Amino acid sequence: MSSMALPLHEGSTVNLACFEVKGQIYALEVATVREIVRIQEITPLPNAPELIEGVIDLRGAVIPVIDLAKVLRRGTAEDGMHARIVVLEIDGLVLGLWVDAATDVLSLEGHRLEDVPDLATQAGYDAVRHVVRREGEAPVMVLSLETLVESVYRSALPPQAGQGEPR
Amino acid sequence: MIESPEAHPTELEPLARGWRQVVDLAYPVPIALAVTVFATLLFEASLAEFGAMFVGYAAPILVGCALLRRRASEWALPAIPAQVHRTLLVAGLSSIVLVPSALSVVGAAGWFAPALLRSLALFAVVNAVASAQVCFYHARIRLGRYRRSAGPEEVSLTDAFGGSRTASRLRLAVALPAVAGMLVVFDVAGHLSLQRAANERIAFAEAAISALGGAEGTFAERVASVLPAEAFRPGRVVAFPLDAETLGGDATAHVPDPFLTAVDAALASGRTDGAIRLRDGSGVGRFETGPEGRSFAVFVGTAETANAWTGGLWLVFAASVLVFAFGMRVGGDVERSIAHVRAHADRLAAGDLRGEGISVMDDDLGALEASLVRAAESFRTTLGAARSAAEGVESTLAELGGALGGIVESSNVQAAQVDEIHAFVTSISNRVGEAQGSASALTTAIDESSNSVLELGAAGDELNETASVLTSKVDAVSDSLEQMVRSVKEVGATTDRLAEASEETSSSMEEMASAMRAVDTAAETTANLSRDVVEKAELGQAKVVQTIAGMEAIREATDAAESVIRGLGARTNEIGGILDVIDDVADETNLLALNAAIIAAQAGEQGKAFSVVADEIKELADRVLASTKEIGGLIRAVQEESENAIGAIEAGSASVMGGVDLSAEAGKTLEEITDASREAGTRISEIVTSVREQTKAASHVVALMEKVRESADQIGEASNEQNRGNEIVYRSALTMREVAQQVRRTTEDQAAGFGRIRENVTGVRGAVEQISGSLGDQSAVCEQVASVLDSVADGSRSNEEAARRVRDAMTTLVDQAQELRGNVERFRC
Repeated sequence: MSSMALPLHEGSTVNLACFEVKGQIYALEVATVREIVRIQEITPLPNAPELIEGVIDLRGAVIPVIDLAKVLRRGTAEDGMHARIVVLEIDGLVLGLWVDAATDVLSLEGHRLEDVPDLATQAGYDAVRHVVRREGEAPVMVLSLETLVESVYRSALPPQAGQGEPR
Repeated sequence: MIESPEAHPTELEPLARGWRQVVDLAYPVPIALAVTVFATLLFEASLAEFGAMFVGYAAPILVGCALLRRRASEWALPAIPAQVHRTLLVAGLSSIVLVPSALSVVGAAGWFAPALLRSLALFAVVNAVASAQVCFYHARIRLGRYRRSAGPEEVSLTDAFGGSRTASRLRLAVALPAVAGMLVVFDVAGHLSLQRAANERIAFAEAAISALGGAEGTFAERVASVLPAEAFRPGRVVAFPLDAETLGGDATAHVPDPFLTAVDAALASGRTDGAIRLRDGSGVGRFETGPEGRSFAVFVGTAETANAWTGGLWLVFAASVLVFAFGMRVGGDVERSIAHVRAHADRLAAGDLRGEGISVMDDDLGALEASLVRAAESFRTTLGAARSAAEGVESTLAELGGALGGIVESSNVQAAQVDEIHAFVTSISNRVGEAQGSASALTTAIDESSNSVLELGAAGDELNETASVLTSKVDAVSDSLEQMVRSVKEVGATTDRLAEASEETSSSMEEMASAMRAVDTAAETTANLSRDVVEKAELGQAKVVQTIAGMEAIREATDAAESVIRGLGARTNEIGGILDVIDDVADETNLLALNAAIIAAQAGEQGKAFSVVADEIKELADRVLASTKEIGGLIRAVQEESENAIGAIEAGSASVMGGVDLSAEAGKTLEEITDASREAGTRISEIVTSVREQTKAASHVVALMEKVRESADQIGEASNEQNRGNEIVYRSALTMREVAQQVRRTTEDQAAGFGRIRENVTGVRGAVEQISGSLGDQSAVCEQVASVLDSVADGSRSNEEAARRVRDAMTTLVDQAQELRGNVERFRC
C-alpha cells in the first residue's frame, strides 16, 4: 500500500502506537489507530477465517478482532488484566487487533526507523517493515500494515484459491 | 420201744437190753428194703445198684446204734454190749466209706460210666433217707431220757427240751436230709431218663431197620446193609438223629457238631463203640462200628427226651413232698405231746399230787405221763409216812430235852470240883515260884554286879566311841572347812568373773549408748531434711500454682493477640480491595492517556501541547500503578506475616495448654511428696523418741552395772578376808584332829582293861544261872500240872458248852419238826 508509506526523510516526525505481544514491543503508525479499548467479550463468528477470533460490539459498531500473536505465529494472545484491543481504520475498514498490552505512543524522527535486513524480507517474512532501536530498552518492531491485512484476507480466502497462488 | 426199768426190773439183763435196742433200731429195715426195691424197679437198677442202695440205707442205722451206745450212760439208756457196739460201728462206718470207694474203683476200671453214676446217686438217696430216720429216732431217745431220769424238782421240762425249739429241730432234722435227697434225685433222675430214652431210640431204630428189610446179623451190620456204601467214608462218621422221618433222609442233617467231634475222638482213641453224653446236656447218643470199619452214630437231643424224664421228676418231687409233710406232722405231734406232759408236770411242781382228772396219751410221751402219775402217788404215800415220823420226832425230842437238862447240871458240879483242885495246884506252884524268885534275886544281884562291870566297860566303850565320834566330827569339821575354803575361793573367782562381765557389759552399754546418740543425731538430721523437703515442696507447689496462673495469662494474651492479628488481616484485605479500585482507576487513566496521545499525534502540530498533557497523565497513572503494585506487595507480605503470626500463636497456645497440664501434674506430685515427707517426719520423730528412751534405759543399765561391779568388789574383798580367817580356823582344826586321835588311842587302852574285868564277872554269873535253871525246872513241872488242871477245867467248861449247844440244837430241831409238819400239811393228798 503505497499510500501508507511513512515520511522517513530528514526532519520529519513519525508517531508510533506501541503494544506488547509475547514480551516484544510492536508498533503501528498512529494515523491508522482509531482508539485503544479494554479487552471485552469476543463473540466467535461461524465459518470465519482462521485469524479472525470473532467480533465485538464497540459503541454500536460490530468490528472483527484478530489475534496479533496468531498472525505473527507467536502462539495465542493472553487474556490478561492489561489485554487491549487496538482499533484500526484502514481505507474505511475497521479492524481490532488483540494485544497483550498497549504501552506507549512514541514520537520519533523519521531517520530512526531502520529497514529490516533483506534476508528476512527475501525469506518472505515481511510482516515487520522497520525496527527502532532504543537505548536501554527493547527494540520496537514497526509492523507492515499491508502484510498484516493481506494475511487476514489470505486466511479468509477459500483454501484452493489460497493454495493456487505461489509465494 | 424202750421200757422203763422200774416197771420191769427182772427183764433188764444187759445183753437182752442191747439186742432189744438193736431190734428197736432195725425196724426201719423192712422199709429200707421196700424203698430199695421200689427204686430198683423205677430206675431198672442192676443187682450191684440194689446192693449199693441197701448198704447206703443200712449204714446210718448202724452208726446211729453205735452213737446210742456211746451216749447210753448220759441218756440213762441200757448199755449195748461192747462187742455188738464195735461190730455196729465198724460195719456202719466202713460201709459209708468203702461202698463209694469200691464203686469208684469199678468205674475207673472201665465200667459203664452212667451205671457208676447211678449207683452213687442211689446210694446217696437211700443214705439221706436213712440219716433222716436216725435223727428222728434220736429225738425219740431224748424223750425217753426225760421219762427215765426226771423228777419235778431236778429237771424241768422246759430245761430238758428248750420249749418248742425241740419240735423245730425235729422238723429240721427230718426236712433237711429230705430236701438234700430230693436235689440229688432230681439230677440223677434226669440223666437216667435221658439214657433210657437213648436206649429206646436205638431200639426203635433197630426195629425200623429190621422193618426196612435189613440183613441178618448185628445192628451195625444191618445198618450197613440198609445205608448205601457211599454214605460211609474212611475217617468219617455217618451220624443221624433217630426218628421215623429222618431215617430215610439226609443222615447227618440235625446232628450237632460237638457230638460228631466227640465220636471222632472216641474212634481215634481206639474204641469201636460206646456212649457219648454232651457236656452241655443238650443230648446223648451211641456209636458203633460195622463191617469194613463203617462207623455210624445215633443221637438223641434233650428236647426230644424232655418228656421222657419229667415223669420221673414228678415222682421224685411227690416223694419229697410226702417226706416233708411226714416230718412236719411228726414235729407237730411231738410238740402237742410235750405241751400235754408239760401241763401235767407243772401241776406236780405246784404240789398238786392228786391223780384224778389226768388223761394219759397213747404214745411214748403217754408212758412218760403214766410214770409221772405213778411217781406222784408214791410221793403221796411217802409224804404221809413223813408226817407221822415228824410227829414222833417231836415227842422224842421233848423227852430228850429233859434228859439233857440233867446232864448240864452234873457237868456244872464237875466243873466246880475241878476248879478247887486247880486252886490247890496253883498254891503249890506259887511256893516253887517263890523259891525260884529267891534264886532269881541272887542271879539278879550277880547280874547287877556284872552289869556294873559291864556298865564300866560300856562307859569305856562309850568313851572310846565318843572319842571316835569326836575324831570323826573333827574330821568332818575339817572336811567341811576345806570345802568351805574351796567354796570361798570359788566365790572369789566367780566374783572376779562377775566384775569382768559387768565391766564388759557396761562398756558394751557405753558403745550402745554412743551408737544410739549417733542414731539420734542422724534421725535429727533426717527430720530437718524432711522438714526442708516439706518446705521446698510447698514452695514448689506455690510456684506451680503461680506458673499455672502465668500460663493462663499467657494464653489469654495470645488469644487477644490472635484476634487482633486476625482483625489486621481483615483490614489489609480491605486495603487490598481499595488498592484494586485504585489500580483500576490508574489503568483506566493510562488507557485514556494513551488514547489521548494517539488523538494528539493524529492532530499533528496542533495536538502537540495536548500530547504533552496526555504523556504526563499517562506517567501519573503509571506511577499510581507502580505504587499500588508496591502497596499490594506490602499487603501480601503483611497478610503472610499475620498468617504466620497466627500459626505461631496457635502453636504457643497449645504449648501453653501442655505446660498448664504438666504444671498441674507437677503440683500433684509435689503434694504427694509433701505428704510423704510429712509422714517421714512423723516417723522420724517417733524413732527419735524411742531412741532417746533407749538411751535413757541404757544409761540406767550402765549405772546398775556400776553398782553390780561395786558389790562384786565388796564381795571379793569380803571373801578374801573370810579366806584368811578360814585358813586360821583350818589350821586349828588340824591341831584338834591330832589331839582327838591321841585321846582315842588312850581310851582304846582303857577299854582293853575293862574287857578283862568283864570276863571274870561273867564266870560268876554262869554258876548262879545253873542254880536258877534247876529251880526253873521244878517250877515248870508245877506249871504243867496246873495246865493239865486248866485243860480239865476247860473240858468241863466245854462239856457245859456242848450241853448248851445240844439244847439249842434241840430247840431248833423242835422248831424244824414243827415247820416240817406245817409243810406236809400243805400238800393236798
